[in-house]
This record gives sequence, structure tokens and C-alpha cells, in this order.
Amino acid sequence: MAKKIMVVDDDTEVAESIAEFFQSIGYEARYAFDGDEAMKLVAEDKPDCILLDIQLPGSRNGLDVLDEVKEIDPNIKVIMITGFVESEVEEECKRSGVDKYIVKPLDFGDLDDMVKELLGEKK
Amino acid sequence: MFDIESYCFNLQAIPLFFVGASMLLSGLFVYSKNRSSSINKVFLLICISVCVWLLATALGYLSKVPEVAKVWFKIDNFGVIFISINVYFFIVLFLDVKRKLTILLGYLTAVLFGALITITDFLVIGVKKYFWGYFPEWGFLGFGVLLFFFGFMLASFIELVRHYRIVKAPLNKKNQIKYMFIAFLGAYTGSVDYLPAFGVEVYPFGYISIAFFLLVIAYSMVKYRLMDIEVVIRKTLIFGTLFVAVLGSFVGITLLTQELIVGGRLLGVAISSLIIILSIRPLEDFLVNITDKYLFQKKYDYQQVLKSFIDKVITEFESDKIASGTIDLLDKTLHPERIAIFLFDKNIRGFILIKGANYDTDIMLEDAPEVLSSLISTKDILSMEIENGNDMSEKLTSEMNTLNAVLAIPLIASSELLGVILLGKKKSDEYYTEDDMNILMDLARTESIAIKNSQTLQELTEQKKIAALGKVASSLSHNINNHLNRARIRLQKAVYTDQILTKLGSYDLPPEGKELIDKLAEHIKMVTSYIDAGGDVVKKARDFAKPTKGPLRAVDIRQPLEEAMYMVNELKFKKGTRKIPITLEIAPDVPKVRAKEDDLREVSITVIDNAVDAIRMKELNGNGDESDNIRIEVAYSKNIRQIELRVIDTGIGIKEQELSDIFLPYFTTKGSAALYEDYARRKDLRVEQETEKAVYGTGLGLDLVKSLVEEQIRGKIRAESKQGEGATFIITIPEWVEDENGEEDNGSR
Repeated sequence: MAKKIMVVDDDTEVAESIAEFFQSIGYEARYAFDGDEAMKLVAEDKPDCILLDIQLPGSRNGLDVLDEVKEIDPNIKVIMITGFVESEVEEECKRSGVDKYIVKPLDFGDLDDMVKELLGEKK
Repeated sequence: MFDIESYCFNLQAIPLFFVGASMLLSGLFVYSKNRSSSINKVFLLICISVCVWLLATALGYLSKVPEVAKVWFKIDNFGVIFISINVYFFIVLFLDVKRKLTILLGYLTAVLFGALITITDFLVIGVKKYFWGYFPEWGFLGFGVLLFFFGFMLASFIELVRHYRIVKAPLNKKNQIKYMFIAFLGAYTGSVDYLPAFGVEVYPFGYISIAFFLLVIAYSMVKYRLMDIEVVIRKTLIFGTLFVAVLGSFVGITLLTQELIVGGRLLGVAISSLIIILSIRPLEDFLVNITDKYLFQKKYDYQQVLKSFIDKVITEFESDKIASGTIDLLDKTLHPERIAIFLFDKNIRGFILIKGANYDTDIMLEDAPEVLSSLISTKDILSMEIENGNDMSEKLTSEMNTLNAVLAIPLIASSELLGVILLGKKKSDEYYTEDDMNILMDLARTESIAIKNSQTLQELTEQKKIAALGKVASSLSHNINNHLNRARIRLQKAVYTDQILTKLGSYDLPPEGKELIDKLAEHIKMVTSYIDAGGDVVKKARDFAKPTKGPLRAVDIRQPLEEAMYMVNELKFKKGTRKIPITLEIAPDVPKVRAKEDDLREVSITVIDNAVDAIRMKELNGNGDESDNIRIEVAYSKNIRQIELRVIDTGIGIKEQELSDIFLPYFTTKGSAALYEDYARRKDLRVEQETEKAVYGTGLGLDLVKSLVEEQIRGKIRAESKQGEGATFIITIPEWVEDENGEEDNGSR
């Protein structure tokens, strides 16, 4: 069965394109534009891996979503996407249990490798 | 002798009385100024002995009867015998020389002589009548007296001369000695008075010599603070002199006319009144002018000067302007030969000459450590001219000479030495008076506060600017990053998701078609790499306002340099390009530096990177050759506690007018994409992302390096170059110096 990927990013171009990419290489991909929508989708159908932007509009940001997702199921892999290069942010994410951390601008090849690694598939 | 009939009027006696009384008064005045000082006491003794001599002689003149005169003359010679030994004693005390034995013997001899003179007739054997009155006649003892008298006189002069040669400081001591010599020399011309004692009819004008002596001593007191007596001639003294002059002339003229004209007393009064009325005004003006010109040293209004300075300085916030204002003010009021204002700079941890007037810019305050510590501990002006309680040691004196200064004024605020004002001697050669010193201290205090304020303000402004800039950089870069992200993702989509190129490639196309697809692929790759370059810039820009983490430690510069060299080698030379030799030479005396390794490495990488590019550019132009190389040299400048890092390349060089522009953001000389393409085509290199980034300058390298160097490392960076021959980047880094309490700042600002 195909692995499920969820992309959360407030930038429509980014969210759609990444989801499309993963869809095209054989994953089941969905996307959300903010934290609330993301949690709704998680409740409906748990993904295997979430690509999460740290800056989200609304009451929840990426860190909040990370915490909540890990609470629901720590086995859901989370890759945090961010424009920040500060190490404190990285530290914070690690503390909250993020699995991978990647900085914009994004490369599909890198994303692909990362997801494959997290979901235990060989390259 | 107490019978008034024994006396008759003698005009000659008057000046003797006058001078004798003045002498006594002077002695009492000096004594009153400092009753516990030996010098003052002995000066009084001198005055008493001279007074005795003159008054007794005067009374001798007034005597009608020879026997009475003889008694008076014995008394007068009693006074005389003590003069020389008193003078000698005085001079010995003044020069701080030990001659106890000599002095003891001297006084014993004097007492002996004195006894002989008064009790016996060995000295004064009789009196003789000259045109001015009676005068003593001396016997054989006179030669003994003369020997004693002149012996000690000579001894005194010898001591004075010897010390004049030796004394170096304080400056006014030398002048005091000089004037004392002149005064006593003048006084001793009064020895002419001995001649009539041996029968030579020469008018004994000794009292004139004494008057001269008094004048010179008074002058020295006023000008050189002789015996530490500060005499400020007040207008009241001027009027006192006037009064005496008036009275004296009134009395004198009246008596004279009474003598010369019978019944002329009334006439005398009339004449003297007339003379007084006519001459008093001009006399007063004359006296005021003379004292102003020769004795008054205050030529400005103390309060006015201070007030105008405070007004000016309070509105200034730049230390430069404060310094200029101070120099102008000092120049106008005190007229020193030179002025220098040094301020302490926290960045280089040393004193910098902020402004100077007629001052040699090579002179360093650090060459005078004794002066500095004296200023810090006393918090008071250091003067070469006057002893102000401190011993001017040889070291202090020579240091002040090195500094070319006569006064060193500390600028102190909250126990910190912010700076020092140095003044040369006054152009008029006058000494700085106590008033001058007071005004200077007040000035210095005001100035210190003003400077402290300006420094605080500057720091705050800078911090604010940087914080603001940081905020802007942060939000801008975040924004830009998002756009870059979208662009990249779009390209990725074309390549990965839509796989446009792959699909196109699978169609049956004529060769031109395939070529077009290849070109398109190349374009996409290039654009992607540019986007990544943009991302790097954003990263660097965001790092701009943030201090690097970690505590400040003493760092050995070798390691970060070697790491930088390694990284440049790895990044730039692995694609089959010719390796450019990079050598590292660190001088053996280079100590640990005060900077973080990360900062040093980052700076070095960028600068070495640039050097490599410069050589590559030269190759591009066809001028490259085998010997092109990069030298990294590290040397130590001990006197400014700086380490100098030089990166010297033989590349294309920098145009002279651009030498400072290269540190501006977005300045690039490396060329456009076209240049790069040319290069790639010619060298037949495969386009790899790293080399693209490396040669194609983004223009945001050196300015970040500069801010890193200036803000984090607290050093300086500059470039020197000869166009076409290469360039040298020079970075100065402060030496690691242990802080006073061993505390170091932990890197966060």
C-alpha cells in the first residue's frame, strides 16, 4: 500500500507542488494550508510522514502541530521545513521530537531522499 | 647715647632707615607666611641682621657725638658679621644640602667675632667724619672679619652655581636659584661699604644694593613662588605703595625745603602738595600698568572662560568636536606652545591622539606609563613646573619630556581615565599659575563628562542601528526566501513532477529539437543554482546582526587559518583546475588573539576565496602564469597590541578608486554571467554548482566580512593593491589581553 504524505504550508504554490511531486512518484499525498486544517486531516486519515512548514497562519504554528501530532502518534514522521537558520529553532524542534529538519529553498531530490530514509525504504 | 641732643638731622640716614625697615618688614612677612619652615625663619634672620646693620648705621649718621656714633657702629658691625653666615645657612636650606658642621662653626665664629666687636675696640677703633656723616674706622680685626664675611659669601655662591647645573625639575626651581643668585650678588655689591672703613672716601651705597636685593626677591616670589610664597599683587598693595610714596615724598620734600629755605616749612608743604596732586594719577596708572605687565599673569576672566566652555561643550556630542573646542579655548586663553588631546579607544584598547595643535603625531601616550599611573592615582594635574606635593622622579621627568609636555591633565569620569590633555609651556614662557591649574581642572572635569556622554550616546546609537538593521534584514530575508523557495519548487516541478524535459526527450524529434531540449535543461539547471546562491545570500544576511555564539577565549590564529585554507582547497580545486599554491607564514612572536575561531575562519575563507578568484580572473584575461600564488602572512605589532593578517595574491588587482568601495554591499568586480560562460566555454569545464557559486561573485562577501571584522573581532580590514599585479588584504586583530579581574565578555553584546 502506498505511503501517505501530508504537506502543510501556507504557500499554495509550495503545498500543491510538493504534494503533486510525491503523488507522481507513487505516494498518496494531501496538503493543508494551516494548522487547524492539518490536524483535521490527521484525524481523518493518519499520514505516514508530514512535511511541515514552521510558520503557519492562525492559532497554531508548525511547532504546535509537531507537538500535537507526536502526541497523537509518535510514529508519524515529521520533517520540519523552515526559512530559519537559527540553531535555537533546530534545538527546539529536536526537543519536540522532529525527525528531520530542512531549510528553504527546497530541493525535491533531497525531500525524496529524506522521506525514503524516514519511511525505511532503501534509496 | 639716649640723649636726644646727641643727634642731629642727617638726610643720609633716611634711605637707610627706609631700606632697613623694609628689610625687617619683608622678613616678618616671609616668616608670617610659614612659621614652621626653617627657610622662612632663616630668611627672617637675614633680614634682622641686615636691618640691624642699616638702622644702627643710620643712627650712627645721625649722631653728633663721635662716641655715640662709635657705639652705634659697633652695633651695626655686629649685625654685619651675621649676614654672611645667615645667607649661607639660608642657601644651604634652600638647596637641601647638609652642611651642619660648617654652619655650626660659622655661627660660633660669628658669635666670637660679635663679642669681640662689641666689647673690644679690635674692630671699630674709632670714627671718621666723611661728607655724609660719621663712619667707623676699622682696625686689624677687619681683615679677619672680611675673610669670614667673604668666605661664606663665596661658599654660598658656589653652592648656588653647583645646584643650578644639577637641578632639572621642577622648572621653576632652576629659575629660583638663578634669581636668588642675582639677588644676593646684587646685595653683596653693598660690600663697597667696607671701603670707607679703611679710609677710602667712597659713598657707602650698600643700602641701594639691599633695596635691589629686596626687589629681586619680591619678583621671584611673585613669578616663581620663591619659598612657596604665592604673592598676588592686589590693587590694595598698589595703593599701599602709593600711600607710602605720597607720604614719603610729602615728608621728604617738606623737610628738604625746611632745610634749604629758612621758614620754608609752609612753602614746603605747599610745594609737596602741588607735586602730589599733579603726580598721583599718573603714578597710579604707571603702577597699575607695570604690575599688570610684569607681575599679573591672569589675563582672562576665570568664570567667563569656564562658563563659555561649559555652554559650548554641553551641546556637543561628538568627541572630535569637543576636542577641537577645547583646543581652541586653551589656545585663546593660555597660549601654550602645543596641545594634545588623547582619548582612550575601547576597540584597540589604547590611547589615540584625537586632536593636536603643533603636536607630533608619532608620540604615543603608552610611552609614558609612569605619567599615566601618576594621573590615575592622584587624579590631579601633573606639572613639570611646580612641585605639587609629588616628587618629580627622573622617570616622570624624562617621560614628560618624551611627551613634549609640561602639564598633563587627566580626564576622569567615574574613576575611569577617559583621556589626557597635554600642554606644552606657555608661549610667553610664563609658568602656569595656580589659577590656571584650577581652571584647567574644572575644564577637565566638564570635558570628561561631555566625552563620557558622547561615548555612551554613540554606543547606544550603534546598538539601535544594528538592532534595527537586524530586524530589517530578518524580515526582508524571510520574504525573499519564500519567493526563492517558490521559484525553485516551480523549476523542480517542471523537472521532477511534470518531467517535461524527459517526456519531450522521448518524442521523436529532429536533432535541432534535441538540442533545444538540452539547452532548456541547462537553463533550468543554471536558474536553480542562482536560486541557491540567492538562498546563501539570505542566510548570510540574516547572520549579519547576530553575534556568533560562544565565549571569547584566547585563540591561536593558526588553526582557523589552516581550516580556511583546507576548505578553500576542497571547494575550489577539486574539479581538475590547476591548484593555486597557498602558503601560510606565522611569525614566531605572534601571540593568541582576541577573536572567535568561527569568525576568523569565516573571514579567512572569504578573503582567500576572493584571492583565488582574482587569480582566476587574471587567467581569464590571458595574463595568468605558473608563479601565481597566494601568501598568507601573520605578524605581530607589539606597541599597538595588534596582530596583522595579510592575504597577498598575485591576481588581477583592484583599481585604486575602488579600494574602499569593495567593502560596500553589492559591489562586485567579478563580472556577469556572460563572463562566466566565456570562462566555462574556454576551459571546457562542466558546470558544477559549487564552482558556479564560487567564481560568480554575489557581491555580498566583503561587506559582511568587514562587519564581522569590525563588530565581532573588533579589528580593522583594508585592502592595498596595484592593478594588474595583485592585491593585499590586511586585517588587524586585537591581541588577547587578560582583563583586570580575569573576566572576559562572553560574546553576547
